[in-house]
Amino acid sequence: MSDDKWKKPDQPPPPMFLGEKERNLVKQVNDEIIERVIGQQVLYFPLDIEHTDYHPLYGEAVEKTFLPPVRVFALVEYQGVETQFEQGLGIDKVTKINVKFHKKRLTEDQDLYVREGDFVRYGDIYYEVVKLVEPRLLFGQPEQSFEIQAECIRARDGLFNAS
Amino acid sequence: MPVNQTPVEPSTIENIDTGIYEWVRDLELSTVTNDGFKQTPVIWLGTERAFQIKNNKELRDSVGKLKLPLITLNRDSIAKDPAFKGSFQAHMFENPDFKGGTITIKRRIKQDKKFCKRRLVKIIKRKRDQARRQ
Repeated sequence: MSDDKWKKPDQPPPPMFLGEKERNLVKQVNDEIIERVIGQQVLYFPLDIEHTDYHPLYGEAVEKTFLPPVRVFALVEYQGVETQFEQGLGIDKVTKINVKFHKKRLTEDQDLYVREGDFVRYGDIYYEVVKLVEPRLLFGQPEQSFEIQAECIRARDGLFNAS
Repeated sequence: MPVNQTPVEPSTIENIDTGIYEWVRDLELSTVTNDGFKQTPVIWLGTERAFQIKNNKELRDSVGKLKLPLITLNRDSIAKDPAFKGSFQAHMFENPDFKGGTITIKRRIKQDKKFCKRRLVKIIKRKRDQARRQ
C-alpha cells in the first residue's frame, strides 16, 4: 500500500491574517486614532435601576440615580438643531448627536456597556441614548463586533441633571 | 363586636391603571410556545427607556430582542361621562365650604355619648314631673 501523504487534516488550519494578533492591532490603531488624534470625549452616565425610585407601573422616575460617570473617547457627530412640529404641542426643537463608541475599548478596558435610556454629556448638554446600532463586524467574524453607534437626543430640562 | 370595615381606594387614574394591570396579570393567561405551555408576561407600555431595558431582563434575549408572546397594556384616552347615573354620579363639583364638599358614605354612632344624652333626658323629665307635682 502506498503512503497517503495528501491526507486531510483533522482540523482546518487557522486563518493566516485574521487572528487575535490582527484584531488587537486593529483595536490598538483605533484606540490611538480616537484618543490621541481626534480626542473627542463624552461623559457617560449609566442609570442605576436598583437605586432609582421608578414607579412600579409607569416606570418613570423624577430623580434618577446613576453609577459613577465614565469618561469615554468616541467619535461624536453633531447633527444640529432641528425644528419639529408636534401635534397638539406646537413647534419644538430637537438636537441630536451620533456617538460612535469603540466597543472593545468600552467592554474590555472600561467595563462599560452602552444601553438605551442612559445619558451622555457632550459639552455642557445632556443627551439621552435613544437608539443603538452595531453596524459592522471585524473581519466578518460573528463574535467580533467592534463599533456601537448611539443616536442621542438632547434631554429636556428637568429630565436629567447630574450636577 | 368589631365594625366591619372595607377600605376603599380612591379612584385616581393611577389606581385605576394599577387595578386594570393587576387584573389582567392575575388572569395568568398562558399559551403554547416553543418552550412549552407558559404564562404570558404582561407589561405596561410607555415606560422610560432605561426601565424598559434594565428592569425585567427575562423579557429579552441576549441582544435585547423581545421574547414573544407578550401582553401589553396602555391607556389611550380617558373620558368622564357626566350622563352616567350610577350609585355615585361622576360629575362632582367641589363645595366652597371648609369641608370642600364631603359626601357621607357611612356614620358611626358614638355609643357612650348617646347613652349620656338619653340619661340626661330622663333626669330632666323626672325633675319636670317633680316640679309639676309640687
